Amino acid sequence: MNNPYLPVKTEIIDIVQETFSVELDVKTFKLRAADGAPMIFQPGQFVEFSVPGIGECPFGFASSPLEKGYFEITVKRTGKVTDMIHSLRVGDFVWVRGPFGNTFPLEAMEGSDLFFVAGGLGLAPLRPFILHALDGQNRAKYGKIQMLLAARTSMDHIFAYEYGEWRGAKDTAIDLAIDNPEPGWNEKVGFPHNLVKGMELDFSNMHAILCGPPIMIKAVQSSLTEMGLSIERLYTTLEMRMTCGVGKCGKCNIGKQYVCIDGPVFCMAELAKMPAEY
Amino acid sequence: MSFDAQREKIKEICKDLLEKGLVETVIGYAEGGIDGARIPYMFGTPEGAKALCWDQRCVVNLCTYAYEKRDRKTGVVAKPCDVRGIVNYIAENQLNRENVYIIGVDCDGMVGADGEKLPWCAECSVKKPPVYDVKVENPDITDGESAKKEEPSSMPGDFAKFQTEISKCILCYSCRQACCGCYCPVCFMDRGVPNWQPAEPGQGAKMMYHLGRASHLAGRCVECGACERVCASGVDVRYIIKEATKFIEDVYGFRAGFDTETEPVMAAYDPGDREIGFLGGEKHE
Amino acid sequence: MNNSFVSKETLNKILKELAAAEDVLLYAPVLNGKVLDFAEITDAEKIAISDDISYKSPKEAFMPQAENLMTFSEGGVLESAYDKKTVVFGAKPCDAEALRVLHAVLMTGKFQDPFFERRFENSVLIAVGCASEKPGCFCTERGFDKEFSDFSDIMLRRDEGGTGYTVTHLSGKGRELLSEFNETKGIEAAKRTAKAQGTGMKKLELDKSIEDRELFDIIDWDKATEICQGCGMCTFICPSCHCFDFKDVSTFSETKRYRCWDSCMYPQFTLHASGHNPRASVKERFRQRVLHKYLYINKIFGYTACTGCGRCIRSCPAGMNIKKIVESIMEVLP
Repeated sequence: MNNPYLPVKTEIIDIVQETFSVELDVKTFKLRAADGAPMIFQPGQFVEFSVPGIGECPFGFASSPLEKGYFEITVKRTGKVTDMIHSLRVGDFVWVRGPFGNTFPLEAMEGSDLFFVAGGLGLAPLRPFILHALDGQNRAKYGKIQMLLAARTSMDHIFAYEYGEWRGAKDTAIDLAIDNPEPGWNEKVGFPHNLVKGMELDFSNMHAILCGPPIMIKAVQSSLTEMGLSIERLYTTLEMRMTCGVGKCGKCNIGKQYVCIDGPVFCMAELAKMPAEY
Repeated sequence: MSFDAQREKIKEICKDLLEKGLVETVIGYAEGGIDGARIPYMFGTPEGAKALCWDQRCVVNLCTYAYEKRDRKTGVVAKPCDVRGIVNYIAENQLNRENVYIIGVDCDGMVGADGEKLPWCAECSVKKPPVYDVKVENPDITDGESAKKEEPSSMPGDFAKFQTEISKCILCYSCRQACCGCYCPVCFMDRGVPNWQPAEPGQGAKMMYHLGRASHLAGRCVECGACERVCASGVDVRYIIKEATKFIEDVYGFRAGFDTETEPVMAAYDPGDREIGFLGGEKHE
Repeated sequence: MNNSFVSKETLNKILKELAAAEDVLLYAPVLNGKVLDFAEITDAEKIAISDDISYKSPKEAFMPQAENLMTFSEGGVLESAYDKKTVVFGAKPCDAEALRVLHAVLMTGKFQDPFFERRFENSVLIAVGCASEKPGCFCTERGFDKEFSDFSDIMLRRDEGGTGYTVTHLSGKGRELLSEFNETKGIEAAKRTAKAQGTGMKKLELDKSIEDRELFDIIDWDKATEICQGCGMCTFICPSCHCFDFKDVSTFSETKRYRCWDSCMYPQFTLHASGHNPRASVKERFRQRVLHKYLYINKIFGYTACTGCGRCIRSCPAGMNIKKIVESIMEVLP
């Protein structure tokens, strides 16, 4: 029997420091299985990443699903496990199992405009979707692509080195935002739930995908629904403790759903029916 | 005075407290356990007092519930051990004296489902509440020597007994949860950094837990027996704590839970401490 | 002599052989001080045969409290080996039914649990029917037969004369075990099926059509859970609780990864690294325990994860009673 708990030896082939402020330390790790086998995944899914002796943690994929030679995860330093992960170096080996979880309904969203709203690290799980949609062979499948990428300060935007390329894509608009004014900052200032109100958004054929701190998701959701977007067209990804990733350990259970199996991607209409224990 | 008379007086006091608005909630005992055991009962209306029970099956120590409700005025039907728990909370600055109204009830010990006096009750010598706002006396009960005397212990024998006792433990931590001395927001056993808890529930993990807990409870145990009562595996948990309690009483003359003013022995630092039992200190006889 | 009867002497002889066999782990009820435990034994003399129910359930034979899953070392990762046969003797029908729940949770759905599977496949569950209900027992209300469960491998019923047991159910694994012993080679199961218990009684269960959220305010959960001390012992002794955590233990040369029982009653269970806790209060955690057992698992895996063994009720330090809580929910449901 295939053992879903058994991880695969994986090499760290590159590390990128994403943020540069004192309060927020985020790194992206580029990984490849030691035997070179590709990781086949879809946007929205996650892996269980472990450093033996320290523990195992779920992380959403942060790289393009079209990239077969490697995959990436983006890690914020918050606790015991992430401290350890941050001390790892290129060439170190870690252990990974996956992919797990459901995916963004890519096909169902084809033909519609996409609006991505990300707060801080929330951009990481959206990046595979963004890169998938912006890719040459897929770009024509979607309409206009808009993004509102918020961070606490100008030092905290992750994947900032890619924004130029994203902005250059056809029919794509990116708004960057920070919480408070800073000298030299020419883009938006404020919280996403207020900023969306001032944006030109056409809800007639749009799907919005939100990710960020729970409070931001709730606030942006209520702004967008107030402005007329149906919750059927709003998607987010949930964060829960997921020990096993395979629907057994019981930690990510919310009502009749296991976030690791039925999620982490949820339509807001679905979430509205679930107990609010997330 | 019988249990019935005590119960009627308790009901009267509780009803009165709520009618006058002196407390928001009263914690007492009501029917509802299996085999006739009484369970904790909380109510906030004078009518609620009707369901109060008081008899030989009111075993649960209620002071942990008073601690849970520490942000509001609460009346507690308190046996001497419950009172000592509350006093300990107050002395350790965990509970405001103003927020708890102690209905001190004289108690000669509780019994189990089999009608036998519970082991910790049989050893108890504190039968009258040391602190109270109102007392419900029973003239037939007097403080004094416990009925059952403890046997003197010896180190090697104790260690063997300790090993046997903890081998039954399943590390479910209910003893910690039921204990009024265990109120740390995060127990040392639950901390990830440093990680005190081995993965396998072997003797090592059990020793770590029981010795750790015992040393944290030195001079703070109020001898209510909650830890042993709640243990489904039948571990004599009190056994190890008892030794620590005896040591503190011998060396520092301190017993927890008798008055709210005395500084708890483990909170006090004295440069002249003879450091009995410490490495390099004096030997404990 | 009828062919479904096993005498006490025969059974004792079999148990003795099983206890002595090196490749067999025998679990049975055993007296541990004053309490009836359920544990691995090597001395058949110690088996405590009685109608009493052990405070601990036999689930650790199938899912140990801590189980080494794999070992990481320089050479890579190695799945832990397991080649023992497990015989569980003296489980109750409620324990067998609880194993049915564990099996459904761990072996059905999108993924299967290989560590449970190998223990389950290599096990023989010998259950003995109950002659009486103990205080706190409510298997009858849950719709089970206190004398019978066909999820056992060998189902025994104590004979009225006290001289032995009638075999009322035999699975393939059970038959195989018995055929290893000459005295029981030809044993067949006497005809018996689970009897619908307590006719006219409303079965203690929640309708699967209820929306999860509906039950969140249907009763006063604050009141219902106010005496709970949140110790989580109920989840440890429960035969159908199965939630777990991984834990790594390192030495200089290797790291062993364990699966350990965890409990939804512990605040750490759902605590995020950020400090956010989706179920921060005892009320939310106890509600999760009740609804996970009675509603969610039933919706996902098709069984209610409570078989009425009453262990949590008998052992609760505060006097919490899951049966009363479910009853109170059923009362207010339309």
